[in-house]
Amino acid sequence: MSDTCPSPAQVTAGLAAHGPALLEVSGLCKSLPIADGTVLEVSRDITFTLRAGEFMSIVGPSGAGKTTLLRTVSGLIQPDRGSVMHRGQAVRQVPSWLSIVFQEYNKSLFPWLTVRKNVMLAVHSQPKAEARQRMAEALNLVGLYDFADHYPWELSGGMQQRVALARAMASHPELLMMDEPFASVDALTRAHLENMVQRLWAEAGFAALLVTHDIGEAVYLSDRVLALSSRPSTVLAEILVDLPRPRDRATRALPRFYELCNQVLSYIENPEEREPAAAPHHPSACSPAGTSRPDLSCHRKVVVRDD
Amino acid sequence: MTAGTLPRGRRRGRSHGWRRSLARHGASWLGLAAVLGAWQLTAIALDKTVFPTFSRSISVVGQLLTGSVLTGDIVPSVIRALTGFCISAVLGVLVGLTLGYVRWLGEYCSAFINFLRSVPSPLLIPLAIAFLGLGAKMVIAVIVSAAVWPVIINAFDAARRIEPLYLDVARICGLRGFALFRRVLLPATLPDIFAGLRIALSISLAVLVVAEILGASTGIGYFIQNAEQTFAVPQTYAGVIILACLGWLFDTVFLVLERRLLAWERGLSGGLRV
Repeated sequence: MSDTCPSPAQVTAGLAAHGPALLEVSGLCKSLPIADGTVLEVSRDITFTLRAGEFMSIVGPSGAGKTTLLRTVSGLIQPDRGSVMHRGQAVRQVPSWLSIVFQEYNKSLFPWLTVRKNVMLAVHSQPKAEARQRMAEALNLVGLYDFADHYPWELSGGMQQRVALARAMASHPELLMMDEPFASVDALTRAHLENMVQRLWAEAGFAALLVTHDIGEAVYLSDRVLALSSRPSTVLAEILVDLPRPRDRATRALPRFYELCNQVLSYIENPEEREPAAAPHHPSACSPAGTSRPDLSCHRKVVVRDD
Repeated sequence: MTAGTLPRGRRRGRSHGWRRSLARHGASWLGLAAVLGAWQLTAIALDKTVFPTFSRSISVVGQLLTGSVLTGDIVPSVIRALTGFCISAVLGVLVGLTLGYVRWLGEYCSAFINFLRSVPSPLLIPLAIAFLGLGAKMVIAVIVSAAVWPVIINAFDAARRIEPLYLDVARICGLRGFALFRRVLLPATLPDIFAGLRIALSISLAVLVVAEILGASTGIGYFIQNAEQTFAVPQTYAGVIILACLGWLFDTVFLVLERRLLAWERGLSGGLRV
C-alpha cells in the first residue's frame, strides 16, 4: 500500500548524511501470534535508515512493539514483509557485526559462567590469544576487569549491565543495539551507564540503535530520534537532535533539550489524543506537528505514511 | 571497590556450616541406629529362622565383602548398574535436549515416547534375554530401558522451558550446533537434568536386581535369590544390606557431584548472594 509513497528514509536522505547508510529498513511488517491463537499486528510498514557511526533511538509508548521491531531488525525473528539491508545486503540471520544489550541483564548473562567467560563467549570464534585480549579490553572499558572471576549474580544490577555492555563491545560490532538497557537499574546508575555508553560510542565509533520509552534518555544520547506510534507501530517522525557533543549534565539543562523532548513527546502523544479509535490504515493521519508545534521548521521532521 | 572487597560467594556458608551439617547428619545416623537396634531386639525376641538378628546379618556382610562374593557378584553388579546408568544418562540427555530444542521433532516423538516409557521394564526382560542371552549385556540393556526415561523427560521439559533470552544471546554470540549444545543448552538445563539423573540412578539399582534374579548367573540379585532358595537366610539379609549400602553410596557421591557442578545455581537462587 505504501510502496508508492515516499518513505521517510527517502525523504531524509541527504539532509543530514554524516556517513553512508549502514542499515536500511524498509516496509517492515511483523505480526505475532498471541496466547488465544489470534494474531497481533505489532509493526506496520516501518521504514528508516541508520547511518554508519550514528546514534539513533527509537521511542514509543509502552507496548508499541519497540522490542519486536528491534528483534526483527536484528534478524532474531523474520519480518512478515519488508526488508533489512546492511550495506546493500539483506540481513537474514543474526549477523556477526551486530551486538545486542538487553534489558534483563539477569537473564542475558549466563549464571553458570564467570564474568570473564561470559565475555569470552562473544569472541569464541577468535583465536584464543586474540579472544583473551578483547575480553580484557572490553572489561577494562567498563571498569570491571577486577571482577572478571566473579559470577554475574555476585554483582549489582548496574555492574551486570556493564558486563553485558562489555560482552557486546568485545566482538567489535559495527552496530550496537540496546533494548531498554537502563530500564531495570536505579536512577544514579542509569545516568552513569548512559554516559558510559556515550563515551564508548564516541571512542569505538559503532552505530547505535537504542530502544527506550524514556524520551529524555533518547534525546540525550542520540543524533536522531525515531518516534513510533502505539501498536501497530508505525514511524510517526524522525527528529534530528542538534545538541552539541559531548553531552553531559549541563546538556540536560539546555532549553533546547526540553524543546526536543517536548517535540518527541508531541509526536507520540498527539495521534492518540486526536484519533482514539486509531484508524488502522492511517494511524498517524497528517502531521501531528502541524497543529501543536508550528515553529519546528528548523528541525527535520518527517511525517509520513499518508496516501 | 576492588575484587578483594567482595567475598567469593562459594566460600561463604562454610564457616558455620560444618556444625549445622554435623548436627543434621548426627540426627539421621541416630535414627538409623534406632531402627537397627529395634531390628536386633525384635529378632532376639521372636527367635525365628526367617528373621536373623542384625548382628548375625552384618557379620555375614563382613564375610561376603572379604570373600569371593565381592569380586564374583558385587563388583560385576556395580559395574552393570553404573554402565547402565551412564548409558541412560548420555542417551537421555542427548535425546531429551534434542527433542526439547527442536520443537517439531518433539511434537512428532512425544506420543511414541509416552507409549514406550509406560512399558514396565521387567516385561522387557524375556525379550532382552531372547535377543542378548543371559548375562551382563542383557542386564545393562534392561537397566537402560528403565532408567533412560526420567532423564529424557526431564531434559526434554527443561529444554522446552529454557529461558528464551539465553538462546537469543547464544545466537548473537554466534553459537551454533554442538557449541550451542555444550555451552548454553546443557548448562542451562543441568539442574533439571540432575533431578532426572538422580531418579535414574535409583531405578538403575532396582532394575539391576530384578534383571539379575531373572537372567544372570552372577551379581547381587542372583546371589540374593540363590541364598533365599538354599535357605541361607542370613546371607539373604546380608545381600539386601549390601544393596542398601550401595544405593546410599551412589546417592551420596551423586549429591556431592551435583553440589559441585551446580554451585552457580545455589548462588543464583540467593543461597550465596553477597
